[in-house]
Amino acid sequence: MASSKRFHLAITSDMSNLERVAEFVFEVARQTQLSDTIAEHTQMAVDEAVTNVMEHAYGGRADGHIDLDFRVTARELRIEIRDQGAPFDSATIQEPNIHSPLSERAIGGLGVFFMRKLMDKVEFTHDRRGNLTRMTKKLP
Amino acid sequence: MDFKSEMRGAILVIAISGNLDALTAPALADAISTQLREDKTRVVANLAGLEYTSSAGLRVLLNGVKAARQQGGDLRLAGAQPDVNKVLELSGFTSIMKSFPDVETAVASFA
Repeated sequence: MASSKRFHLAITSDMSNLERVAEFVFEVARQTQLSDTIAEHTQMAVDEAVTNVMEHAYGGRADGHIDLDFRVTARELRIEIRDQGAPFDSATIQEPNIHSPLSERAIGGLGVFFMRKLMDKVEFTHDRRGNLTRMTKKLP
Repeated sequence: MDFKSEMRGAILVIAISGNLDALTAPALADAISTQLREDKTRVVANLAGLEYTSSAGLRVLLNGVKAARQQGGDLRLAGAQPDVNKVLELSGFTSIMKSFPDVETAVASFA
């Protein structure tokens, strides 16, 4: 079985933690020797995912718990982001039509759009324990 | 994130540097709407010093360009670095906002 490296970060839902999250992603990338491009794409996708949790699951509250788990193997990077906030239904998150003219451009939905664009797989689930955002990136 | 505003003739230039995310974007949104309320509706966002923007920063630019155009002006972009430019392209922003290689060209485009 391929060996994997695991990394964990626990934060509160305070927006000021977004910088810590970015540092964490770049530190994981450094320790697992991910390319700069993969590191940058992952950082942005994680930033969007954690921002979603802060804004939608915790509604801007600063004291919610968020756990980030990264597992890196030779073939892929798997990221799990868990929260205990209000369930947010991914089906309700409309992706923007990026070709629509300015007057019709929706303000929301871009975060999920970027997550899907930058990662290979993005899933949202929720159960009694809360929400789980799971993202996978294949490694070259 | 840091920003500085200055007038170049009748054009307002806002130089944005550092990282734009959900924490820092609201301050920029406030600055842009304050200027628009003062009828400074021809605006150039100088992105030369901007290292990163998430969708939160893009939302601020989108709201800014919508509001500026409603008032008869425009919000134009200048000097975006390759990483930021990639994000602008991915999101289709380069087709709805005018983007220029540098501030001088962006300012001159209003003439």
